[in-house]
Amino acid sequence: MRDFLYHTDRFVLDLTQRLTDAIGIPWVVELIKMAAAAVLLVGLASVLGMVLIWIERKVAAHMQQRLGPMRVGPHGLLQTVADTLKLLAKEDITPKNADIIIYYLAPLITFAASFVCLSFLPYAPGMQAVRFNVGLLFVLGISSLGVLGILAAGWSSNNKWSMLGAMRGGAQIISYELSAALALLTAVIFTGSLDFHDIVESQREGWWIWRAPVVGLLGFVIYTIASTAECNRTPFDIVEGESELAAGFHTEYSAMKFAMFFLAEFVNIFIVSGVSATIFLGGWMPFHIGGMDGLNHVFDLIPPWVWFFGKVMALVFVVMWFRWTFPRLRVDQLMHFEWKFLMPVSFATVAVAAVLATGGWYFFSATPAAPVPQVAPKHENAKPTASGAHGERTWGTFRVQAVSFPNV
Amino acid sequence: MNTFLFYLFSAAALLSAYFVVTVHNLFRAAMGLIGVLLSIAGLYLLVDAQFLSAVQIMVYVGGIVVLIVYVVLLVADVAQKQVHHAATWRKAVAGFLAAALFTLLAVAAHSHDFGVAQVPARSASVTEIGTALLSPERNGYVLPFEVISLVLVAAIVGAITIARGAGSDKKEAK
Repeated sequence: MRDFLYHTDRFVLDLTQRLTDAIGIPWVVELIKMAAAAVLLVGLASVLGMVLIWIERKVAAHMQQRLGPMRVGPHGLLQTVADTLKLLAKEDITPKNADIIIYYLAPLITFAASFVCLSFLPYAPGMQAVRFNVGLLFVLGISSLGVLGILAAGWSSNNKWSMLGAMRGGAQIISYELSAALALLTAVIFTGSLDFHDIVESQREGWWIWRAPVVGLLGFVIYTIASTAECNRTPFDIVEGESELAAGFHTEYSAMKFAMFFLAEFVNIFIVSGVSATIFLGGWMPFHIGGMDGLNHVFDLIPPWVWFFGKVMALVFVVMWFRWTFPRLRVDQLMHFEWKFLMPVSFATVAVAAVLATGGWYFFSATPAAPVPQVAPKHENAKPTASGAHGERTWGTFRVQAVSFPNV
Repeated sequence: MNTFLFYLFSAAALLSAYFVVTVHNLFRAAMGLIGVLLSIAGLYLLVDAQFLSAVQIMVYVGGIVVLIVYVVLLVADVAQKQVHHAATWRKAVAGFLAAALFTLLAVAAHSHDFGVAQVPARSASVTEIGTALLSPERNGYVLPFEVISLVLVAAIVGAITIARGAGSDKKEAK
């Protein structure tokens, strides 16, 4: 039980051991683990959809001195369930002149792109479905697939508002992706790794938001702004812009196809908040200050996954708060803001972060987090060289914790 | 397991590549291209080239295909209502060239003894990639890196110049 709460990595290892003892065939065990992770992630995605939509409505209502959904279940908790049932029962309308294949494919692309990213996040020690040593890069790459879903939806609907919304959305997401990636780079420079697990482990002495002086906070703020734009949330929701474009790229979508877009949006909010929490706020790492062991032990009493979901939910709340605080930006303002303000600032942040990291001018930099430059290993006979920087390292195959792909 | 995944990804890549070149609708072709590129990214993962795979997804799927889609939407007649059939001699030449390329590749692949890798595959770390890109040593790629940067800067300057158009400075001055 203790393992289940605090040492989830041990819990997973223990479970694997028991499974191996019971079954004895390694690839069957791997298959079971993969299936378990897949089921858990699907469950997480659907629960997230339900809960986040409910939270969004409640937050919106309370910000406007209303109560929000109250009728179905206690405090309207079951409202989303009822809405989902309603969406399932609704007529699925396809426009007459729509391009059928792409019209059906678009919600799938959008949802799949955001769903895949869920598997990269570390929820607790050992609770990470896929561990790549370039996990962060993967999340950035795959989430950019979402643009294609939006463009496909807008074009295939054969509706000028959808098309306009999609074009705007594409331009916006491509532009803000740059700032988001650069902001994440500030923390990556300090950790010297793109592996989510390593990034979390590197924050044992403290979270990067305060350990990296000023640049950590700046990076965090820039990422929050840019990622809000990437999710097409207000104040950056010109993709949907109700007053101008009907409902933007998903005007022509109804029933469950619409629900897929909706679900993808909420999963996206969770993912960007999760990435932000992992990179800048330590992920599942409790609040630690290097050296102050007494304090650290007090914070360790809270289980890691509570830390992770607590941080993520706090960030999700901030994103929802934005919606009722800022008015929507105009298209030209949006582009000016990104290219003439956010981009230069993020470049400057990265430059300063690089100087601070190489100089070791940040809190608790006893061991240089930025790897000491070394001569690249010969390509023919590749030998592991980075021995000191991160302690022990596993080389090779998919570095996976909770689930690993068997290598034949 | 890996063998199965290899054939799965290869089949997916080939099928979507066939789809790309045969379909008349340009937008559908672009969607097929996503399939090709993602399958190839999957193949990279199978040989543990995680960085390459991530870059493949990021640059090709997230960048190039999006650009292609934009160009298609802005410029071309997407649906291509009337199909233009190529002249017979063009088809013949194309077929001959394709056959020649295929034989060339087949002979090259067949004649070279690839052997089995001596060192187990492993994914390069970010540190190694970074030092390899910026190291002036024998194994470094600093010169190509700088040349590519220059080319990119030139492209950006060119794009801005074209986008501003002639005489836009005067308009701004007013």
